[in-house]
Amino acid sequence: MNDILVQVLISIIGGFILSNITLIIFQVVSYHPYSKPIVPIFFQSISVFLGLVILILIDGYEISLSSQWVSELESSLILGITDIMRILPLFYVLMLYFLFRASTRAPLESPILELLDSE
Amino acid sequence: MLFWLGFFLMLVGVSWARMGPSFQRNRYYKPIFIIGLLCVIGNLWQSQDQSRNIEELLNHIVDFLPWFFTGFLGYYLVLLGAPTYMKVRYPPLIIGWIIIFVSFYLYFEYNNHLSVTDILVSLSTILGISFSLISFFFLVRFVENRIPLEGIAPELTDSEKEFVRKIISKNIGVDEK
Repeated sequence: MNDILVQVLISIIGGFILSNITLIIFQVVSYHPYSKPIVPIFFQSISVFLGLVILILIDGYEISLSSQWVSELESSLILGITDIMRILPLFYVLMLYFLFRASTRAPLESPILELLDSE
Repeated sequence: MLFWLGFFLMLVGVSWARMGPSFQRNRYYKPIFIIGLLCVIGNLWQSQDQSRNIEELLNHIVDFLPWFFTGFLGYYLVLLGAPTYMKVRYPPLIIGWIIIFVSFYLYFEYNNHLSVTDILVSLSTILGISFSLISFFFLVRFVENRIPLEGIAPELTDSEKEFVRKIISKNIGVDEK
């Protein structure tokens, strides 16, 4: 398979695993009597496992108990974090447009705000 | 290991912050988050016993932090000076924009090794994150839809009615006498 396509696939799985692990931790630590986290956590754990299986197969290893599960999990989390840090500048530039609009528009006309200004 | 401990504590902090003040855990989100952040930052100076993956990640963080914090400060100052609710305040507005431009300089200074292809490949992570969030949404909806509806709530007792009356009186400023 094309190298870039493999990298794209690994990035997708990295983001998927990072996001799922984050949501699992969120559900566990914010547990309260009205939350029902068991089903989502179960399916998310399975999907993380499947993601790791795909990553191990892409790396050319065989699936077994001795496979590098922890190492692959660490790599995928790191990849997810790294990718987010890389694409954040794009959103940063996008936000600049709104920031520019906010800094050039006329202030809202409001009698209450005028009262505040006059104090 | 210290990095992952810090990462976990930061996630715990954010999760507890999201829970709202009606839960006691919410009180501790700031210290937990700060301890996590300190663990991550502390790991930047811990050169021994690091795996290659962690070392690469820490290098990325070192490249990321300068422009990000500068940009964050610039954004904050611009929003402070922008005429959103008050009159325009030029000093923070102008300084904010200057700092934003400085953050661009810092970005190119620290990330000149990144190619457009790298960034385009990284963009695909959005697909993975979106897929995860969408599946989470449907899982939660599935679970919530399976909860049987509760019966009609019983009428308020006299003490509850009095309690509600007091709260409303207090909020609309009516004298209780």
